[in-house]
Amino acid sequence: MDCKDVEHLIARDADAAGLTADERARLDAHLTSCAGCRAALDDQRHVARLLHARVDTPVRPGFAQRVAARLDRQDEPAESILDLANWRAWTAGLAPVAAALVVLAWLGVGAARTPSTTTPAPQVTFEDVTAPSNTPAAVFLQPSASGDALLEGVLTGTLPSAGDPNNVR
Amino acid sequence: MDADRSLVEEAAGGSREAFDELVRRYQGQIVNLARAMTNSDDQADDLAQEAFVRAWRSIGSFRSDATFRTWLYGVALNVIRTHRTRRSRWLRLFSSDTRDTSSEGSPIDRGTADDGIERPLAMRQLIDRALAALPVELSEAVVLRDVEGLEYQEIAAALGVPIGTVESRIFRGRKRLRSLLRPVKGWISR
Repeated sequence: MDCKDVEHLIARDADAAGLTADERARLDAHLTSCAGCRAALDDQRHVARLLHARVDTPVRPGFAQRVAARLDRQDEPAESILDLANWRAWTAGLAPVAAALVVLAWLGVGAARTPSTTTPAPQVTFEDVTAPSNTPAAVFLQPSASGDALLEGVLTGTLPSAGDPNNVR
Repeated sequence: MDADRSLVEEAAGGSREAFDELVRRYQGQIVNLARAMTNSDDQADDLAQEAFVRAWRSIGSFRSDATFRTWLYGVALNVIRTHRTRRSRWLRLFSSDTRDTSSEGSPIDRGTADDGIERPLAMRQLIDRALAALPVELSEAVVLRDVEGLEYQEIAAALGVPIGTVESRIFRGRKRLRSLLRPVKGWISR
């Protein structure tokens, strides 16, 4: 029998966990001819006894009360700004709102797909937006817009025209 | 027959009084387990509290095919395992020296272990330091058997592994502890 095959028996025998008659016979037969496993059993027993001799850790006074206080806080609804960190608590309350928004969005999509009988809105093209104009946005959209001219126009109130040929860097 | 059955049923039905009684009944064992696996009084207290909080949250999912004690040990071990994994990751990330220094300057280091009063505490500190140095799967098996005194069957249930795996982990854990516990070799007779 291989040493590996009796390791589990050595572990249980070391702490008096009890072996069956068959297991006892197998282990004893192996130990008779294996000094290494006899030493291993001795070491296992020694470590087990050391650990059994370890004194227990005393519980700090008020432990049960501290657990109870934590459970009380957990059972309470969110009360302070710090409770916002507990996202599970407040997102759960928003579930009905989220459901209503989904329904509204679904209805909105349905309405958008329905053919409209109203007058269509006029189409706006890129040229409409970039046509010569004195509004800051239109001037800004011109590729020839000079930063200095724009700044001067804004400061003096005399914004250059978008079509102004002088407005070239 | 699980001696805690009626309390557990009441707690699962929402009775805080019943659960508080279970806390009082098992606080010593869970704190002791956490202390043995972390080598820190502060962490043991925090982790044991966290274990009970999680047990309260999930007591509705407890199935009576295991004892409450076994189930509670399983919950506590999950908390401790997560803590140890995070802690070792943190130490690797921010320190080149990963030795646990929480117990430096202990009575055993100061050479006061011969004092009859301090020796048991020094011995516990050294044992817990050695246990905390083991891979978590070895330390939890050894602690459950040799410190907490659970049966092999209970350990297998708490860890969710076959009993053969428990025996193997205990064998390997004790084998590694042998050299780590060399300083207290003579403190009890062989």
